[in-house]
Amino acid sequence: MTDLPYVWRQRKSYFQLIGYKCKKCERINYPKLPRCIECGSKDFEEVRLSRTGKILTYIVNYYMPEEFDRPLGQGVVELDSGGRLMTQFTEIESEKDIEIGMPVEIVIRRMSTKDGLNYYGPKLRPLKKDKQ
Amino acid sequence: MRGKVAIIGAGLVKFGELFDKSLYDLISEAAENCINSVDKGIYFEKEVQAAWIGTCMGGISAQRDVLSGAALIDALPGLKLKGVTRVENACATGSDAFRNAAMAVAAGVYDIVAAVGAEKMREKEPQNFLRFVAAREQVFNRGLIAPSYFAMYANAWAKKYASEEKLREYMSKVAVKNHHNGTLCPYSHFMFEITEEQASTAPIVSYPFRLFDCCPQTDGAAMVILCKAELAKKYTDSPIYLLGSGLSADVYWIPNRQSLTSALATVYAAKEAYKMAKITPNDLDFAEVHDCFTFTELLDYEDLGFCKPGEAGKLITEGEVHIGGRIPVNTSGGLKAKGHPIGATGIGQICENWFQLRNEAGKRQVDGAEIGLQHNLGGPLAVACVNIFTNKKP
Repeated sequence: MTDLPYVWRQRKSYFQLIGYKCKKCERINYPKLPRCIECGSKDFEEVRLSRTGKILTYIVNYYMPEEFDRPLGQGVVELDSGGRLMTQFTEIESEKDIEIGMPVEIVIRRMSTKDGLNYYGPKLRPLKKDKQ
Repeated sequence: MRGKVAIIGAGLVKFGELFDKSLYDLISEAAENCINSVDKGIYFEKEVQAAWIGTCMGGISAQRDVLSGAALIDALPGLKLKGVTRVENACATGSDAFRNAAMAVAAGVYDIVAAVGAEKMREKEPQNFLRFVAAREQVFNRGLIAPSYFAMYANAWAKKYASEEKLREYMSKVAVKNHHNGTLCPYSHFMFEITEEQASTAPIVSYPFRLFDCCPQTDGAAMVILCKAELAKKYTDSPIYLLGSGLSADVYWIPNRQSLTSALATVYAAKEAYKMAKITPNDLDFAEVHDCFTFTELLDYEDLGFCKPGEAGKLITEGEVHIGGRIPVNTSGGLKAKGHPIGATGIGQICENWFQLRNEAGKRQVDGAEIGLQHNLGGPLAVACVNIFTNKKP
């Protein structure tokens, strides 16, 4: 499987947290699809999404392909700017460290290591309550 | 399509880890059982005009050839040079292959066709299977595997309607029920009982799912023969009829979905099927639903309208979905115990409808069953297919 073109096509979403705001219905699309998932428009405005948000739901994987760390938490986050991401957690040890509604920030971290290459991308880092 | 299509034969193999049998061997064996089930006999080579083969990963899962309709000819030479279509629609592959076959008959294009489902799941390395679902561009590199998607809904559901402890209790009860039903079904992969304690203390796969919350990797094949309803009595005095059918696809990327506590694909597929069938969920006597994970079955109760949103726990706790209950679910053992050979799963569920509606289900028979349902949900939670059957001519 050739992975690099995937990352290349999604590079703005991956590394700059760019979302695509529909000019017609204002829905924030992330990552980019050819048309707005809400109304079908092709007319987008690039917007930089906020780096903080709240967890909508989560899971923790204990059996994974070997290129990933284990256990691996993953969550869906609603960003404060609008827009949703689904990606890995960082700095958690088990499901006990995660709960729905908790605040997180987006940081760039290593997602996986495959064929000697490190792949980086946006991860969810739990925010301490006093940092809010 | 209501009442226009009948099933006159159905057969499957015993699902399991079938290393000594190829995909073609499995199809051939299922076809033989299916053809032998036609009460008054059928001259397969001469009378069956076309076929649909549902296989999701097919050759890919065994890391061999690409599968087309031609693959079916190697197992069933009687179909040589006839129209054979391969269908792939994630976990709804088998039920959608059947649906397409039924639509061709309802449209009057053919009088008699076959719908086949088959899958080899055990010959691919588990690592590659885990990767398979995670490879899609939008989810690339997230490390999301099949259980992850359903588990996302499970945690959101627990938060909204119950608690993590209650969800754990409900899921264990589903696992125990389906393992028990599996012991009553001669086609089931798993034929052993488990306890709630085993289910709730097994190793975690994808939190909150533990080992016994997950269906196994299973090989299998199943086949049904469909015909125009008016021709059915020529082949059997007890055909079953397709009463309603629905299919729905939702957006793939979970954050783009409207709900994280309901699989809208199931809701819409069911709505279409119930409307066509002119029934409500209360009219169902039993159901074979998609329980790839124990939580999925709980979600199905709500999305298929067996209870109100948030009340799935009540159904499993009060025994309403057990054999002898108000609406027995997964009498065959379900994906959880009978197994989930993807392409064969849906057709296998239709076979269970055939056995139940013909009073041939033995120890797991639902007394007086007249209307049954079959449901698949995959893709993940993005594609759903629902078919409803009856033994009374509509």
